[in-house]
Amino acid sequence: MFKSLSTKIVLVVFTTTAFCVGAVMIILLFFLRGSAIESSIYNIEQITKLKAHFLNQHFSSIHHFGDMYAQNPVVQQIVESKDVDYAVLAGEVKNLEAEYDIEILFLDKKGYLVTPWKTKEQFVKRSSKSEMEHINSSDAHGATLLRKVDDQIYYSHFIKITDQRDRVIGFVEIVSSIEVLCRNNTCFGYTVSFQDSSDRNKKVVFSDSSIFSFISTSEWVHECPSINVFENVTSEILNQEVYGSQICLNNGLTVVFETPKSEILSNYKTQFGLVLWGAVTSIMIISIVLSHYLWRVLIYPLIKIDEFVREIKPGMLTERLSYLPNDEVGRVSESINAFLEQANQYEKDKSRNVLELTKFKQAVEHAFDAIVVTDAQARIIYINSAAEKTTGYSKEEVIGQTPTLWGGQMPRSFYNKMWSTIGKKKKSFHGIVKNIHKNGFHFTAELHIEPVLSKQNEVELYVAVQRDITELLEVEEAKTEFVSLASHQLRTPISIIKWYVEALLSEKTTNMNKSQFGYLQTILSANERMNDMVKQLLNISRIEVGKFIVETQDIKLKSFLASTVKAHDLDIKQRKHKVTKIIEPKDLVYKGDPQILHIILDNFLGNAIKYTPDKGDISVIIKRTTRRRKKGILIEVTDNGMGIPYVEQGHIFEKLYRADNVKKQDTNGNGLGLYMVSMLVKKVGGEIWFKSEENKGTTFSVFLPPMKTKKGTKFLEQ
Amino acid sequence: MKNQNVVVAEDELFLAKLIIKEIESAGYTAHHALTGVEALELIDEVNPKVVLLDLVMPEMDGFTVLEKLKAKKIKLPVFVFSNLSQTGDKEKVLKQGAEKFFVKADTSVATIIDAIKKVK
Repeated sequence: MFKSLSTKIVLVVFTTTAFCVGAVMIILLFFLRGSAIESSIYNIEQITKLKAHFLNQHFSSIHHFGDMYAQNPVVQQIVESKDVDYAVLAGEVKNLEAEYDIEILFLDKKGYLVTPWKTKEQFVKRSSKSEMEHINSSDAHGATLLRKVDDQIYYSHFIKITDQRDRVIGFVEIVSSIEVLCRNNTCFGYTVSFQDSSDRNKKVVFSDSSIFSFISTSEWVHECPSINVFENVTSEILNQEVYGSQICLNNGLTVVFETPKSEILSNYKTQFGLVLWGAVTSIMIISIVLSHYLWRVLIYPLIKIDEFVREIKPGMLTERLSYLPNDEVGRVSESINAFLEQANQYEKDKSRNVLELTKFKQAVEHAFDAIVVTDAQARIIYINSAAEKTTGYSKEEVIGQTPTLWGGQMPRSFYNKMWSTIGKKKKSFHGIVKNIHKNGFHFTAELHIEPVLSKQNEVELYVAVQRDITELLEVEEAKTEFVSLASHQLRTPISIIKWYVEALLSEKTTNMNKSQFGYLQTILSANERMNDMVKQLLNISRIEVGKFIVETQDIKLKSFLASTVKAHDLDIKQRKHKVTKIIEPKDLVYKGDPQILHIILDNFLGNAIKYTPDKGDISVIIKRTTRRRKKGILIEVTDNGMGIPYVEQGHIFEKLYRADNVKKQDTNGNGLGLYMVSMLVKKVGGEIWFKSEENKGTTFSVFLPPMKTKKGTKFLEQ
Repeated sequence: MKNQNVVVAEDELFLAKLIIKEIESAGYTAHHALTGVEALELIDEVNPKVVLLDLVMPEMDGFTVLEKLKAKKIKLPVFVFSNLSQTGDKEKVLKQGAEKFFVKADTSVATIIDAIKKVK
């Protein structure tokens, strides 16, 4: 409902403030109410005393007049009904009456009016018997009476007039309208009750200066108190709850002041309204101020952070929040900055990685070999352009497919083996595979599949690299075909020459001199060389391609060496060389291809025979050995011949290379023998080296490990 | 009379001429075929003691001739002499029923004559 944090804050702040201020207000009002009542009571007491004081002053004046006339001899004579000149007195009395708004009457001892300048009738029966008794029993202070005449209420004060023997001879009565008492606002704002000294039930009530009437009430206290304040009393006069006070005046009048409770509380109500208004205003102001403060410290930074974060885009990660107050918001900002720092770093790293990846991808994309990447289920996820070209399928066509799109041309067993290698053993697979191009023609490829494993050693991807070797194979085929054909074609004339020269040599009938015979023999030997060369060329072409067959068997080296040497017997005898054969141990057996071993031994031996001056010493030593932790045999062929010049030793295994000294001495070589031997030795995992010193001799050494049978397509020429 | 016929299937005339001369000197009757087809015809015709068979010939090569002979169930000592010298070739023809295999460039004519003479 309240989605905005601002609304929530305003709501919470307003509620909290309203609650707090409300509570304070209630306490305050309670206190105010109490204080209002208390002060009212206090005021009532004070005002009552003050008013009593005024009233006492008034009454004391009246009393003073009474006393004054009671002592007057003229007045004494008047009340005793004696003839006396009262003219002065009457003038004086009239002046006083006018000044004080009172009436001064003289009564005889029976209470009859005896004032000569007043009409008797008016007051003859004004004092009843009981009133008279009350007046007679009064003390020096006199007696008071309240009377109602023609709806007017009058107050009368009686002072006894006594003779010299202290006998009562008459009374001075001073009559005053009760309204006079309330002059000068003495009664204003109050309901005032008076009680005279004779009748407790005779009261007169004023309220706002208007006179009600005599009413009887039970509020009065019978003893006349100096002051008595009462509260929460239901006034019978006002017929409501009042606060009031009762006080006795000096003349015996009792006065009661009453104020309705509602009047006192009206003041409080005004205060209540003020407080309420103040509270509402306070709530509003406090809420606004607090909300604004919270908005400043909370919402505003949040808005700023929100705006900032919204505007952050890739490439703007170097931007930072600058508003960092030392509070939670500041920490959020710091966290965002830290995050941006990390993101920035990450982006930098990423862009660097992307760059590297792009380079790498470009390299893969433009690789010469077809590269296919699949997932663990062999679904293609990537092929490079070479693969598109090789298979004929575009990237869009193959993504999600499997390589059977162009595969499946091999026997079932091939694929079984492949999957067991890459899928189960998780090893790389290498093989030659026949595939079918999109356009329907077959092509042969050299295939290498590498499973890419996860940390859990699960296959994640397969990366297949395949090179279309169709053309290569065709070239190979053509080359083999060519070599084979060429050798055949070369051999035909070689055969013809051989056969015809042999025929010539064997025809004893021919008349041929010795030099002619020698020529023919030279032709024959050159022809042999040519034939050898053809064989060597054939072998080299097969060794170079690595397609020669290795068929191993246990070779008894003693007899093998003997037969190899024997093949050279003719030359050895001719050159009168001495050949030493050593086999250690004598019954040493070597596992290898006899044809390869023969080529090696034959070449060494041939060279030794050829390049050692007559009567040379040649030794062939074959022994069991271990080289670089590999077991095998060591063949050493040593001669004491012309040796190899030091500067040419580095080239001795190069194709068609012949040392200078050899070339001069013997033209009967082709520079293929040692090249072929060294290549062959390397192909079967062996090593070849030599030691030589010019004109002292040469030792050729070969280390051969046991050979492994190797399938190929071509046998080597013997 | 003992069968002295030898069929020489060889398209290279120089070689054919020499070997025929040597064969005849040894007392045999040589019949020369230039192609594999001719060789098959001659074999049918003269029922030779030995056949010298080249491998590379026009019309029909030596391998096919061997196949045909095998198909016709004609059992004859066939000496293949050729310059196709790989062990593979040698094994192939021996498997096809040839008795001997000579590499021409490595063999003297005398060796061939001796081999013919040894055939009973």
